[in-house]
Amino acid sequence: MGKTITLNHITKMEGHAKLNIRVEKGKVKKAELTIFEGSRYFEGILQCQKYNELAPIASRICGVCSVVHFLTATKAVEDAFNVKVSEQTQLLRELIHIGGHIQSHVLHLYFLALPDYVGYPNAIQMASKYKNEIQCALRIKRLGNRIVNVIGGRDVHPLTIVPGGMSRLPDQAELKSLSAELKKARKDFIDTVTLFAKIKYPRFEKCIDYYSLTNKHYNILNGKVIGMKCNEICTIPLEDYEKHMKEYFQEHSTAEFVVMEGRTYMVGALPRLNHNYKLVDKKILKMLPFTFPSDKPFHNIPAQAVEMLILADRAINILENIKIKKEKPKPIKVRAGSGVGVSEAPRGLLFHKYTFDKDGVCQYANITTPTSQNLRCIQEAIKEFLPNILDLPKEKIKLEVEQLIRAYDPCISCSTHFLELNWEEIK
Amino acid sequence: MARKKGVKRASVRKKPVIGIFSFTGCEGCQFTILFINGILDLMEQADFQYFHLIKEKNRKAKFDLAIVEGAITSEREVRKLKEIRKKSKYLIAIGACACNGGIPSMQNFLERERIEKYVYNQKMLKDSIEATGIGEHIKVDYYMYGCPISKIEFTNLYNYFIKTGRLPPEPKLGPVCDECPRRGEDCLLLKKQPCLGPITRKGCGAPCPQENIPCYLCRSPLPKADFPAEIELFKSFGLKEQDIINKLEHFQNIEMPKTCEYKPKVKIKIKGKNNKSKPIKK
Repeated sequence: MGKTITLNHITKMEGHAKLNIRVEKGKVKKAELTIFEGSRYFEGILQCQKYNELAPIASRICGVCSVVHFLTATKAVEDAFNVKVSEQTQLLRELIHIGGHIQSHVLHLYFLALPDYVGYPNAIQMASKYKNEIQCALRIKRLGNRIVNVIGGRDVHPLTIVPGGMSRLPDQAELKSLSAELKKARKDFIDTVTLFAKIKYPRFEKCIDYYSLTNKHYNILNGKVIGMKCNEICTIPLEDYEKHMKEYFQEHSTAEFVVMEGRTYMVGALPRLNHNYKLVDKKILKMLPFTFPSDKPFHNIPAQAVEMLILADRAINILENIKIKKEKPKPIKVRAGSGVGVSEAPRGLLFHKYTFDKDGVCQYANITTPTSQNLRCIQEAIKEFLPNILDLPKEKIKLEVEQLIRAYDPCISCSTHFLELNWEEIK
Repeated sequence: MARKKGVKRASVRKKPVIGIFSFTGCEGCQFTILFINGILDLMEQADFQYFHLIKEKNRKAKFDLAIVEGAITSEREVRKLKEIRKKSKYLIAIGACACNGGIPSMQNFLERERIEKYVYNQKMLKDSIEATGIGEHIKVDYYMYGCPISKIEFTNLYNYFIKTGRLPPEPKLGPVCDECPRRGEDCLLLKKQPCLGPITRKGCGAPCPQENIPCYLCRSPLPKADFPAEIELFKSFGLKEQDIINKLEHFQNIEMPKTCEYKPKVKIKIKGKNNKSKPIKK
């Protein structure tokens, strides 16, 4: 007799998903994610749009990653027209990107993940007993919002990032006060690392390929894409990343999957630290009870906590040294051609590629989000994880599987391809 | 003494039951709500029975207020929406997607077969329908426009509801220009930038023009919006007609004529209840 467990409407995760697990004679036969999200055809609607309209539309792919979609789309446009933005623009964009990461990580850590590990159904009910923690989370959240606000003009769907530069430069005095606020809040970031380092995560290991950006310093905006493939480092050339990456649909499943060089891989905070931990202050890394590289997917959660501290320090560093000088966005010379933008979204690598005609009208758009890249990894992980917990009561299994899924911090609404379908694969 | 009595009565009174529901969209409006300073204090004043983003147990109770985000793109969503309407005393639409389709409704104007082939390489979801705002399917008691919604507008409505148990009256109509600090010499239109402020509903506080970004109509056109005049004006700035039309279509379910033979004298009608725009199909 087979036993089918269906987790309906997995909550505390952005977007809407459903998971079907099929167990036969103690063996996991099926672990399948179904997505509730309606289709939005972003890549279709971006076609025929003028180059300067792309980023504001792409930003609407996801409310929580709006900053990174905005930035990555703009980077792709600039790449297509060969525009090099100023050093100041790079720094301001890095700042707003850090703000976006903080917004997203703090939400995932405290509101979506933490209740699981301290035994509460949600953050609201947790608030009375974990008052200090929630207050700390709210302070960090406010700070993340503030950074995005100061640079971008709005918390969600920022405004100021335009091809060639920034439409409005922040006030030097405001940056100074932001720097002071960040320094004051550094303790909150440290407390967060301590809190998430203390939690006992399920002991589950999954050896897999990792991909992330790497640069001279811990940079989430610019760098080259590297991968760790069977402990072998490889580089993905940006111009033709589409040749290395394959998007496909799995039989009986509804979502889009991605493989890199034909293999399952993971993106996110854990891969970022696995590749870049040498660039991080040793004092910070010592706060964790484990070392990088780590193959435990649950370590993605403390990795996010550590990353917030690293990024806060980086933001302080930028803010202390930046002297805003007046400049206008670089002029854009429209030409036919393609451009690629890649950044580290809070959940991992994000690719935008656009092709333009001679008038700067988009002819082709391809967006690959971190969640669709991680999806195959999540499904495989569930399949491997389940045998360890099959003896537990159903409720407990449900909780643990949900925890595992949430460790990858999936964001379903941002996966542009998700669609329920009956599709027979011919292969 | 009187105050104390009031407090006591308030604590006896049952907290209103609220649900936040999400359909097709980016969930940015839910995040905007979560990003309000002091949100947990606000939430304590009501009983949130449905807020899937942060709550695990979603008891499907009866709601005094249902807050609905996202566009409707499938039959399944229509069924769920109607179910929510039946269980709710008041229902409000938040954000451009729920109000009139928003960004998801841009798909309505694409050649369906072409984009499907391009994006998915296979057939459409069977029960997929034309993407619209929620008002196409149910009665909506209040429209909160914007992409995303304004925190101030939401907080004001929420507080009003907690205090009175009713929804506030609809805000006064007027263009974004009414609230724009650039109004006058600094106006973006004088700089030949295609700002849609004059035809867009106010209520946001004009954040975009303040960041040197022309208004992009995310709060929907005013009922008397003069599209032809706007198109003529932008053409005089040197913009191509097709680009202007694309721009106008971004956040609403309005179809503009696609060819360059378009004559500005033909007035584009925006009909519908609650001054809500409806798709105009050729």
